[in-house]
Amino acid sequence: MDRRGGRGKALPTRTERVGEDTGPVDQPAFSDLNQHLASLDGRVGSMARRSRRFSWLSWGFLFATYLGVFLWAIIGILFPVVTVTTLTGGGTSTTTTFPWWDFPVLSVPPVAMLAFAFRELFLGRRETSKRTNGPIGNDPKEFGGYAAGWTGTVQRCQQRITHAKSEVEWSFVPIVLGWFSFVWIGLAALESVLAPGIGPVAVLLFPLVGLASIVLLYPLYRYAKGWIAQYQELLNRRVGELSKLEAEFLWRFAGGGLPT
Amino acid sequence: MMERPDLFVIGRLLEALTPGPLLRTQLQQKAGLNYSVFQRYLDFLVRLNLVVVRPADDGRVELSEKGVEAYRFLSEGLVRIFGLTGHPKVGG
Repeated sequence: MDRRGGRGKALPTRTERVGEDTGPVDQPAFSDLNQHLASLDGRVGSMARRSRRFSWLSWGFLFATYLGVFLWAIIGILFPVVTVTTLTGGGTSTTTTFPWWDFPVLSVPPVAMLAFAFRELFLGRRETSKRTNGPIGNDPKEFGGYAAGWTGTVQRCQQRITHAKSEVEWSFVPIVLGWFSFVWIGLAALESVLAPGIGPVAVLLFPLVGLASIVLLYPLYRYAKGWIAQYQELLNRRVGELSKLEAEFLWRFAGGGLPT
Repeated sequence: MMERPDLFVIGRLLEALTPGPLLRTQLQQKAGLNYSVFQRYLDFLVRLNLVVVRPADDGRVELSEKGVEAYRFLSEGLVRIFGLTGHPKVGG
């Protein structure tokens, strides 16, 4: 049976290669390593892209929250709900409040922004643990159309990781600020629309809800920092091992240093 | 004097030569390097006696015995570091 699955003369075998039958060198190790580099580059690129989006959406959340405050006030002024109550003495009392739909409608954009921001964070984590090729990192144009070397790839990966780390860290500032504002607006809306008499309760609730929010956000912050740190650690470990191999290589094949 | 050489680039050049001698342009294409980088690395490998340029054979480049040993050393070292067994894995 030949290699085509039929009877007859077998196809000629490939010409014997240098170093054949000597173990791992038979395998195209560097072709695999090129894929490995591209994969690493793709994953880090994906992480950078997601963390950048997370950063933009975090600032978008803060912006949308403050825009919501502004619009909430404008709507309250333009479409006030006026309640006229007849007093027992015969006179009337007029109360002006915000329309009930004001806060729910205006809270949708910031909540959506925050939800999309966290989605980016979780997708980033998932993609970087699975993907083999990335739309950013694996584009040959980024290498000037040529295959990448380890040094250039590592430098770029390290830069991207540093940026991603910084972006994620700073993104929690607008989220915390926005969340405090959001809670405050929510309580103010509750007070003005539903129960005008709960002022002191709202004063107590505000710091408590803010504190609860921070407690919830902190694990998320640690999580984001953790998975970025994993990549940093991986790269540092690889760099260390490669430096050792490089030193051994130069010692063995270049007499301990680079030829002049 | 050459700056710190990239072991991946050296490995790719040596690997491209394992099936047999190649013309410079073929080697450059197989290793995926631009001309100036290729020239620098080729000079480096020649100075280390890892490859031999044969002027009588259209300037074909060939692996020396030392080059075969160097390729084995590098591929084994990199496979050990990255734990590659056919398909590359990242994630340590």
